Amino acid sequence: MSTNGRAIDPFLADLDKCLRCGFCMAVCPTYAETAREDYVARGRLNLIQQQVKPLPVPFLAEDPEHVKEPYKPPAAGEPGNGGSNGADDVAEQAQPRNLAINARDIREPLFSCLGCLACETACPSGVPVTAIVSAARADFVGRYGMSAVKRMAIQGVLAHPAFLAWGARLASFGQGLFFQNLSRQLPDGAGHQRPRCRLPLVSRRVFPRAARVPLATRLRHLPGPEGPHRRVAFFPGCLLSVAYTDVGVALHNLLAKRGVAMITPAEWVCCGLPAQVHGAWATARQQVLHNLKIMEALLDAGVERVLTACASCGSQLAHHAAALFAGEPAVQGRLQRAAEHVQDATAYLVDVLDFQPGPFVVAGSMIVTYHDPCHLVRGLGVREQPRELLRRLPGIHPVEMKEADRCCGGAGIYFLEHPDLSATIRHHKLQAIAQTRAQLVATACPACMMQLEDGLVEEQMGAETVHILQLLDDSEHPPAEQRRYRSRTAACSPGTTQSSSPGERVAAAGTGNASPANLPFRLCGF
Amino acid sequence: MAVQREPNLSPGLRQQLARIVGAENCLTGPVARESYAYDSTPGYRAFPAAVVLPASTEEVAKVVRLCAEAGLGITPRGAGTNLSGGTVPVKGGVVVCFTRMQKIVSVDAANQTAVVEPGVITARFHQVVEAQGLFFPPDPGSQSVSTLGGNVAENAGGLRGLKYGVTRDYVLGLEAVLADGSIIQTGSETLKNVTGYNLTQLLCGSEGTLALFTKLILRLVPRPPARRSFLAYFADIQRAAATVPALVEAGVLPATLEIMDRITLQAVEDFAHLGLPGGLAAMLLIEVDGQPAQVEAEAATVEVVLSRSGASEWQAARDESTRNRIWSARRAALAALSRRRPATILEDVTVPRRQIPAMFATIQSIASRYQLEIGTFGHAGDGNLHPTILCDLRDRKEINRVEAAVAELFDAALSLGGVLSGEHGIGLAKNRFLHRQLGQTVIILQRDIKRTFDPQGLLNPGKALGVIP
Repeated sequence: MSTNGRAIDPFLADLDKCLRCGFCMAVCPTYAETAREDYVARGRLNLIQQQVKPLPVPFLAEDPEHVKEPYKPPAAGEPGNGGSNGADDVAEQAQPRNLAINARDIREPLFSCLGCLACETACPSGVPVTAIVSAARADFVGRYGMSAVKRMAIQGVLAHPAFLAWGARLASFGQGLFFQNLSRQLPDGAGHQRPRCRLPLVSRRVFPRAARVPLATRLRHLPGPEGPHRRVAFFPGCLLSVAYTDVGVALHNLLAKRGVAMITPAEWVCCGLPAQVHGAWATARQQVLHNLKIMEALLDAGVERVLTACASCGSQLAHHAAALFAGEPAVQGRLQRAAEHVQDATAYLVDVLDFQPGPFVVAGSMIVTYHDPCHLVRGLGVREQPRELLRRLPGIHPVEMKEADRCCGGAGIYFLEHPDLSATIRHHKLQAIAQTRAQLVATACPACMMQLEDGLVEEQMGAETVHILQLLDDSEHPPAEQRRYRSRTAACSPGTTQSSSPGERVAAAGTGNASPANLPFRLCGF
Repeated sequence: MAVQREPNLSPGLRQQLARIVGAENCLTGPVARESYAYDSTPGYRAFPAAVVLPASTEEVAKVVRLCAEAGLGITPRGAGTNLSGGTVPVKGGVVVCFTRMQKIVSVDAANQTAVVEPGVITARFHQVVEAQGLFFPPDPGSQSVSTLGGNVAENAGGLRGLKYGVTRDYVLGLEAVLADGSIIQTGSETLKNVTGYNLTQLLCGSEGTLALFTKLILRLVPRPPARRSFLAYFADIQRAAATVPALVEAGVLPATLEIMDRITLQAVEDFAHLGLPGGLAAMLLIEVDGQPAQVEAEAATVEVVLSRSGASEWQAARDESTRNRIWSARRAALAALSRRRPATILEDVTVPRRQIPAMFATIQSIASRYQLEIGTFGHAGDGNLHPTILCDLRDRKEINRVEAAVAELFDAALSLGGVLSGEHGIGLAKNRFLHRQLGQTVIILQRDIKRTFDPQGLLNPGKALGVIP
């Protein structure tokens, strides 16, 4: 966002590229649930465009702005007479050129986008939908502000690493007061918790337990590789730093065993994606620039890669952040140079290290299915490497689920703003998982893990979520030291128990394509 | 400029509509009105007073009855991927959107028929019937999103027209709501039916001007188990065009016979870097399908014809991965063209097969005289070409040239014995040209038919019935 002007300004030409062909409608998860134009990319782009720079309507004879300046062709027939159709007796209504849409009215279309990138991949014209939507959100937030809760989360906690670290540590001690540890309550609740009090919206939500010891501290006490080694940096991101710390530890071990030292600077801040997609662009820019400096210093010091194990962080570092600096080629150039060295850990393990697993059988002989995080498969283009890793692991049975690359509905804190839409989108994912009869759902993004864990508990499916790096690390340890997976004969199907089907959480259960009738489009207090 | 703050709909009417379809499926706010003001046709936009999304035949009938009493126009809409402005509610009124009616009621493998609701997405239907060894050939370019109801209303075509025909050839019957709200049934689940006028075929392709469909009875065929694709490059377009009738005369009826011109190929290469040979003037994509033995025989004939055709290079795909490579250029065509300029105006003039070379020559001449970039690809087998005009809607001068060029394009197609539209429909975009093809008498006849079905002129007002010069 340049200092003056709107965040959307650099994207006006991109907005014009949308042909309204509708190919986005085939892939958009929110359109699949609602079947409504204002819940799909072309509808959102249309609304944004009408706000900022409407396209002329040249071919509509009824358009009062349609000023005919007949072109004199060298040898052409008459263009015929335009005008309305004499056959219609229906009373004509005066057609306004523009509706008085209050910018506030487009909040729901604007903020109901998951940012899953499916439309961008399907778009024949190459419209950067996500960048446009987040720019429009930035302008929206600039005008109408952000809810207090969101502001606290994004500009308070995530923007200040110390808050995050101490907050998490405090939470790890205090969480027992406010949250129920599900390890004792539910057979599949190990490592999860649920609020004790009836907080609005999230009272049934399952969260990962905050880590007692943050990742940075745990890593400090781990031995590095022996002898001469290569060096990579690790960008853990917020969730891996304070909740899923095992993932970072697993990566450290895997790399150390293969002669690679992993440097995890304490100075990293949030990757900036949450701030960017929620319209807090000033915060996002600060975070991106801060991390960029660290990356540059690391690369100058001869680090060969910056690895990520959170798909969203990786995608942000590799290219999303560039949209924040449209019209600033110098910064974009620096981002580009750094981005070339950003790689997802699974891709690094396969493409660079040609990963061979350790000697031990993993997870018994469980059926494992892999869920593609949006930001990994479409954001970073990593599709095959995680599957290749699973195939190389001894013992497990990888089974491909239907539409593995469809969004799980997690999308950061989307579930807080759009709990019902998020749950119905996830229901498709859970059905696909159930069809594979998988006991383990492997993925490569902590945000997806959080969403899937809640879903698997909520719909009592008896399957468990795991970060793929943890599975790989298990192959280095004898079964007694491995992460313990609950072995089950078979996973049950989603929603077998009435009380836990999303049918209860959402006004009416929508398997298949839920219709708008089934969705109370309510926004929570955000 | 009159800015309309409130929808042109009385609160009483709004309440009644909401009572029929449920409040959450009756949209009258400015955001919804803005969101149903367009379809896939560039350069058209008009606001409805309300959008309703019914879930059943009864709801549709009640909505229509209410609109008829109030004298409100009705614009039916599926996915809104129309390419002739047919779903733009140009006279305001109510948009009836069928996207919630998406049940596949039955697929009868023994009878080879299916009954579906109009909001079923074409590609989903393909998947469902193909899983049962059946085949529904119509495959319009927007099949991944378009609805079957919209396909029937527009009589949509696609790539398989030459061998398999178009949507019309697979519609056996309809359940439809007339303009007064009464529900009728046309046709049947039988292949043979000569009882009464063929109203099914009259409604099919009527672009929403005669009735609203609420159920479709569709014909299916066995799924062809084998297929073989060929790709041939030509140094001049006339040779490529001449190969098309040569194939048919040799007794081969390809399922797909696509042609792409120099500009399209150049755009594809610039965009997708497929390594196409340089200096190409045209490319033909041929696919034969059927029983394995028949495919073998037809493939052999295709090879003979191609070797005599003067193609500078050609290749056959014997496996799926080569087939995908061969198809990649055709699949990238629209994306490649649409990335060159902001807007892409996709025409669909259609000429008799033997006139394809002449039509290509005319398109080239029009492009140069009006200083426009026009890439042409299309379904050469059935003479249905897609001259794609690349432009910018914000450039008024260029748009004036586009309008004049389109008018000349239509005249050229007509003078070659062709038609204005092969598969996109008349809608708004071609409405003022209709009389050039049909003439006054036919236009009046059509209006008489329309009046019989819809005396008040409520259904899709402003579309497809032409103007009387």
